[in-house]
Amino acid sequence: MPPAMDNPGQNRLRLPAHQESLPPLRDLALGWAGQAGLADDVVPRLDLVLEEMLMNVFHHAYPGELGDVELALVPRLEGDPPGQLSLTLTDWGVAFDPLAPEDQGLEADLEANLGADLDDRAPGGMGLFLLRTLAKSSYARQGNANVLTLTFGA
Amino acid sequence: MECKGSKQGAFFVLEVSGRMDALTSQGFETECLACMEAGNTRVVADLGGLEYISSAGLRSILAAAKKLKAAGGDLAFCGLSGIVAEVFTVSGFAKLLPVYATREEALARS
Repeated sequence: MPPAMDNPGQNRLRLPAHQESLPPLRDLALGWAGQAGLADDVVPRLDLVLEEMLMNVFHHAYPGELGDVELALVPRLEGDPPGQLSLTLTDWGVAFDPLAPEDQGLEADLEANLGADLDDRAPGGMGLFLLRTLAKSSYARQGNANVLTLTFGA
Repeated sequence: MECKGSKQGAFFVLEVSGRMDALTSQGFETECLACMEAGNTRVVADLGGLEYISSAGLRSILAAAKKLKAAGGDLAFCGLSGIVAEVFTVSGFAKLLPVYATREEALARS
């Protein structure tokens, strides 16, 4: 993963929360995945969940204004299994817990949607569902920040 | 993402390769609409060369499938593997849309 290898010590990156920030944040995360020895079949899950959560921040965190998003590597702790990677995604926008959306209708819609046929299937909601299915995650509102911690592998 | 198209019997086959992410996936719907306008409403998307798909890719597929169906046609898939197969399964798309293991099977259906 060349971009991160240019700067192997980089453990966080804060960029404007818009679509052009997706490629550099992705490259950094994939570099960390390589260094952590994440299994080949787990790397695409990281890729996917990161894209979903970044797009969520880009589209919803800062209505009508442009804020920042930060990706940070969570340092390994002694006793952490090998082949595991944890990272945090932080924004300073509207409070939103992707693991427990306050809008209960959203939750019900998601369940109904998974069983819907082609005519009734709605296009939205899949990002949050993929997050829950493909990563271990936790959310905290810290001051005025949304902090989502994602763990992959092992 | 790249799409390469060819007419095969009653079907139009789209070979999709690369990544269907938030930056590229709109191209898939555009390709399917071009097929429709050219009179090809039965489309088989061979995803054998597709390395990655996100929910943006699923949205593009869903929009294309609905439009092809409304035009009296359909959209089937083959050649899924890795994360693409995993995303089709967990999202319910593997039940929502016709998915075949091989292109031969996709082309043999009525």
